Amino acid sequence: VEQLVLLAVLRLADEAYAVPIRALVLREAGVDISRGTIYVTLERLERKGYVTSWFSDPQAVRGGKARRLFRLKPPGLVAVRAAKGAVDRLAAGTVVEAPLRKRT
Amino acid sequence: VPDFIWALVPESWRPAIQSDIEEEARICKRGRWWCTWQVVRVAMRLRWTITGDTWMSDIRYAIRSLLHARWFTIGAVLTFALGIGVNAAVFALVDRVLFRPLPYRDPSRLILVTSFDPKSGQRYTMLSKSIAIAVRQKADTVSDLGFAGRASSYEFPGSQELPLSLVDASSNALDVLGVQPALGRGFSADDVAARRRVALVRYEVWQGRFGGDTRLLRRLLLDRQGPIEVVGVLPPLFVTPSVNWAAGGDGILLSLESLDAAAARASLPGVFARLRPGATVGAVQQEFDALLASTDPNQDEARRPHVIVEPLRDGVFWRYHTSLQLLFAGASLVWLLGCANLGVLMLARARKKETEIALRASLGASRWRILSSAILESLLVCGAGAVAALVMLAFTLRGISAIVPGFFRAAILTSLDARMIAFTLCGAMAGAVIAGVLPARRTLGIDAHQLLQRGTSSGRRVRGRSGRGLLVMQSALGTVLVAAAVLSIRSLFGLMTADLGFEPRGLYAGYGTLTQSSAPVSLTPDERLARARRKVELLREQPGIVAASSVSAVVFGRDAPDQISDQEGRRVIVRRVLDDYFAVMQTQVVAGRAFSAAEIAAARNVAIVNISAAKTLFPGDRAGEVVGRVVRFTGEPPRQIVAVVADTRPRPTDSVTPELFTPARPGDQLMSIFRVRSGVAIDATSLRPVFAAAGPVSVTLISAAATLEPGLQDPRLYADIFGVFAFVAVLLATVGLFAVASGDVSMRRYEMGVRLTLGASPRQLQRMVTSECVRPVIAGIGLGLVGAWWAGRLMQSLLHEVDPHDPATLAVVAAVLIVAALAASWWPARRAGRTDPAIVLRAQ
Repeated sequence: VEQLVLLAVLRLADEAYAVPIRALVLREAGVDISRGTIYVTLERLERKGYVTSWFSDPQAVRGGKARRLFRLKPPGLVAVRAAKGAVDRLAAGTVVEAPLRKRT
Repeated sequence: VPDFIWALVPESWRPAIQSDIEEEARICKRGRWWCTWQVVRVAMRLRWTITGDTWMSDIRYAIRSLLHARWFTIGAVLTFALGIGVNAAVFALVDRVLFRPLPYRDPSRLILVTSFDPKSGQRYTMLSKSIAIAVRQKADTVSDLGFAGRASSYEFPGSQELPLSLVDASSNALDVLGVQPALGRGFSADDVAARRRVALVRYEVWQGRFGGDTRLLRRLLLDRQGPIEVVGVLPPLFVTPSVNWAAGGDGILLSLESLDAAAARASLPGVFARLRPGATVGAVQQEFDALLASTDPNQDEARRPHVIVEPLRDGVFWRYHTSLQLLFAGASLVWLLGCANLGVLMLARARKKETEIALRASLGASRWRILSSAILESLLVCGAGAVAALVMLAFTLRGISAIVPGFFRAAILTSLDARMIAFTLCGAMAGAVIAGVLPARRTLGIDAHQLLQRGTSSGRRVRGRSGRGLLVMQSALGTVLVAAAVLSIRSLFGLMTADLGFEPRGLYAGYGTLTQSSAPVSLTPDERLARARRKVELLREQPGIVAASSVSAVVFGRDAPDQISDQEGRRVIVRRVLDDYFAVMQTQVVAGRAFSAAEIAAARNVAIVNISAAKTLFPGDRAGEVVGRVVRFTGEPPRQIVAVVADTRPRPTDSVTPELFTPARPGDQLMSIFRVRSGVAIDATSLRPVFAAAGPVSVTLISAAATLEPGLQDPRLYADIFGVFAFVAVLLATVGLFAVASGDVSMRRYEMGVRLTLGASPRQLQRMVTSECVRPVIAGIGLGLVGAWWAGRLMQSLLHEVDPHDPATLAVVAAVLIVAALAASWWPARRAGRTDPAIVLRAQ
């Protein structure tokens, strides 16, 4: 889950906060992460120093609140690269016969 | 979403989650309830993650801090381990009897049936077989009935192994109990029909004596009636459903007694039954009474034997229930004392850490963080203490179970099990809460601003009101436990030194049994008496034997003496004796003289009575007045009393009965008794020539001192256990007091310096420290003596001829506690007296 969330944060650049991260992981990876898990994962990633967070300006709607936005830090980028390298190395030479079933 | 729900979300996430949930609710068009539910779910997950991590860091911090205060931690863990270990060991002893359900299917529906004879006023474990059969056939409240009787010994033929002690049990015993053998098979009706003798061995015996070897099955045992095959192993922790279960030994043997065929006057031992669903013990009692009335309608109800029905648990454990409850109560007090001691130590530590806590509070630590770290420390100490206690028990429990006597050896658990571990850990957790509450309260009460401004805690007292309260509580609990120990030790001492009316040390009774079967030799009554006299003469010639005689029923033997009664129905025990009997027994002749040799030789019509008989036969007369009177008993010639002797009783707990001694008559069955010189060990084989009859004999000696030993086992155990309780109690109280006193002195060095500068002498300082230590102890002793007064009443059943409210006992108890308090305060007082004012005032 941490890997998925890290990739989503990387992809969303400066627009990464819990709602789009969850939607992106569902859309692209087919994994429906619960809201609680998203927040817990982001909390852990921040404590590990992989991401950093800040509050945006309040939204331009009535009673709009500030969003907590996330951005990858260099150790996070290194961790993403290491994880992807590990997956590539493990997958080298294997043939995935059946398509992965999407979780709905 | 209501504010109190938002309060569940950690503060750092609150605005972000508020914004996200609102956005999602807008997109998905969800309402207020959905939002509330999502907030609750997210809050739970996040709070658990964040506080979980905080806890881990708090635990790490607490462990580091305890390791830093190494000696405090070792002392606290060891003293708490001692308290909880004693408690757990006693739990191992009492669990099966007091708490664990009996190891049968639906044990609450099992009952024990005993009988009560109103004529003799005695209760018997035997039940008439005709009643048992009537119950089986007609009773509506009982589904089935079985029995388990007395244990007998059976040997392995051609083997040096110890014999097995087996209890006779009915073929349906295991079915009634709802128990399946752990190995092999149980009894069956076919076994009874084929007269096959089969036995089941207890699981613990199979594991302990036979190493779990399955070859035990099909092994044969032997007795006079033929071979017995071992066909199975009983389940672990099996309890023989009998009042004698502790003596029940190694297993059960199929009784070939059929429960269907009635036999006249036969009775069954240890009858138990299973109730039908819905039946109550009261209903069964009524039905049994009705059946009893119908089996013997002619007999007067007041004289007819009653049947007593009671739950099996009460019946099996009745004898030891109260004593085990008292032991467990004592052990619980030791545990409570351990908690109080830990509380005192933690309180002293909390005082030392005040500056650190104030610093943490001023740096932003919440009250909850500070409180939780205080409680965590006591939890860790208690946890470590519990683990240490369990490790200690794992190594010693088997040894403990080997040294406890009789009943307790059968009841005690020999190894740790899940219940014991759970009990110990629960005790530790509860202890942590009890010990942690006061230090935690103290921690919360710290005024960080004031403390940091002053910069030091010197000159403040370590103890507050709660600390003194804990010391008072410790001393009170210690007083109760020391009082229990002193009472049980006094009771044991009383039993060991009780005046039995004879001197048991060095006194023996002996008889010979023919080792080879030979045709019975018929002796005339005169020949029999002559042989008894000859034996006595031979015994007197043996080296080491100082005196010998013969008696028809030995006081400390198992043979029941004859009873005779006079015309008014006054009953006395009669013992027929040869000359020197009272000299051998060393029984005091109160008035008159012992039988002369001529009276014994001619079997004259003279008699000697004991004091009790003199009072019964001649109420109001003094002993001297009884001598010379004539007594007439049914079936006996009139006899003139020549002496009154002291009362004798076989055991200190037995009551004294009226006794009459007469010279032995021709035909009396006599047993030789003799006294050996102090320090001489008598060997049974060396006496074979004395007892030799028609062929070689094996000689059995009964030592009077040895027959007293079984009666001393339980009191000795109570004295030992309460002695351990008292030792631990005094040790814990001393450690607690010492910790408080020395902490007090080290934190008040400045004050001591000022006092010395102002003119106080070192001796005055020492006296001040000592009196401050002893004062709460004296208050505790006062409270404890009230508790001891009350506990003494409860302990009455364990005590023998000891007044639990004896002022001397209570004075000894108070003295022990005060000496302990003085010992605990000696070193701190010495340190206080040696304070150098120049050094401490300069340091300030």
